[in-house]
Amino acid sequence: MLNRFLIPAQNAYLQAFEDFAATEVAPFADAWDLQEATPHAVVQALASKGWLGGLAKPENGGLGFDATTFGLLNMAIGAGSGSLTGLLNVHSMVLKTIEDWGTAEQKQRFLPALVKGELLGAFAQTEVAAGGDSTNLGTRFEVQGDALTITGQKTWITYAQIADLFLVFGKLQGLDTAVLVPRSTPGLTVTPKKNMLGFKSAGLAILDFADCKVPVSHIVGKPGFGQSLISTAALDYGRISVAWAALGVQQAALAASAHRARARSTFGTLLADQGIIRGYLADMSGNLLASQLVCLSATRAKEAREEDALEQILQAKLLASQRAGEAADKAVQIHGGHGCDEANGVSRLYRDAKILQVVEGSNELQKMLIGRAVCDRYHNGTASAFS
Amino acid sequence: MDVFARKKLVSDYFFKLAGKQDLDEAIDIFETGLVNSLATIQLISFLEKNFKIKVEIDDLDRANFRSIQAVCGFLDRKVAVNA
Repeated sequence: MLNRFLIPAQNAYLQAFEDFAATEVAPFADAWDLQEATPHAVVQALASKGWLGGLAKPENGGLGFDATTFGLLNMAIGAGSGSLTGLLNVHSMVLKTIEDWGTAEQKQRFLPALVKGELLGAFAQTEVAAGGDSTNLGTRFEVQGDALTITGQKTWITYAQIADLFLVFGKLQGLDTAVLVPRSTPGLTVTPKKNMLGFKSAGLAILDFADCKVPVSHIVGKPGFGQSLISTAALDYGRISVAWAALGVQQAALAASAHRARARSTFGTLLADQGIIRGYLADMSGNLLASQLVCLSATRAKEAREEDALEQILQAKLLASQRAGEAADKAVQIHGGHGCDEANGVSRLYRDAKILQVVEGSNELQKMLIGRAVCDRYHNGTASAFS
Repeated sequence: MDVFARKKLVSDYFFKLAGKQDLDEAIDIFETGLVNSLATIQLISFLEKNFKIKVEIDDLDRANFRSIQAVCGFLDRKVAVNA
């Protein structure tokens, strides 16, 4: 359905992404979940395609993906493994931050290897007491000569188990600041975080910084702009990743449900011939189509730098992840006991859909921001009946 | 675009950002909490698109973005440098 709205280059990429996901991702995703790890080989395969650096500009060695193509990648991979979209997400956030706001030295040192996927990036913002409310970050940076000393702890950091470079957020003399910290920095300890509800193969970890020192030149942007600019700009890509990954989850839930409905009979009647099941499938299908259009509108708005692009991306993340939760819920219901088996793909979709509603700003946070924008528009008289 | 047209465009955008129908041109929209956490990136994107400038690392100073007056001054300096 979506492909009729894409330009030829986007359709060609979509075909390649879906082929890759069908052969390299989907058949193994349940096993990765049970092992709680992503094999190095699939990361290498993504890197060798150039897709880990897809968003980077061609002059920096990237493929120059537009926002929609990046979304399509997350959608296709998300239909196979929600966890793996976490890598596309956090790595791309670090890469784009350095490309857009890094110094010449930072770009020269880190960007080429990030683009090639030889260096993996991770986004280290969340703390136990500070998730969406980043005003409470407890991580501290202290200038000592030419060095920054980092103290604090980050947790639930996606793909931190295998990342080489962390974009760390904290306070420097009370100012929100973003700092690049290589994994090899003395004083940084990475501890795997296991037994998460979903995104189980996304290599989450806890980062402990104890007398950890990096050069002052590792500050990205300027102190005081860590949240308002660096984090917000990065999370714009993060939310595109989540929104489009949620489309993949919806697609996978719908496909599994339709197959199940054709294969399973109860009381002598195929599920596919039972009205209530047809109703579920119709809702899932309609919700998927609506989510696709909202996601596409959002990425096109970003590509055109429209004023409401950021708000549209929030809306896309909110809607698509909500609908992913509903679709996965129905998929489990249609599969009955099989759907409740941890090793069953629809069980994984159900778990991952919940994660999509929590990460990159909980859906409640999206609602707070969208709700305010809606009020302002109507209060200003700038809203039309169809805005 | 002349200086008056620039000021009108900037003022109208500040009204939208702050959700107001009018705004004193010296009011700091960040200090006064008139805008949400997305405002900085939205404002920078607006300036880059509409005035064909690139906001650089050295431009990252709250004093350049805090008010209508501040942004107009920032644009005057950027345009002069780019001219």
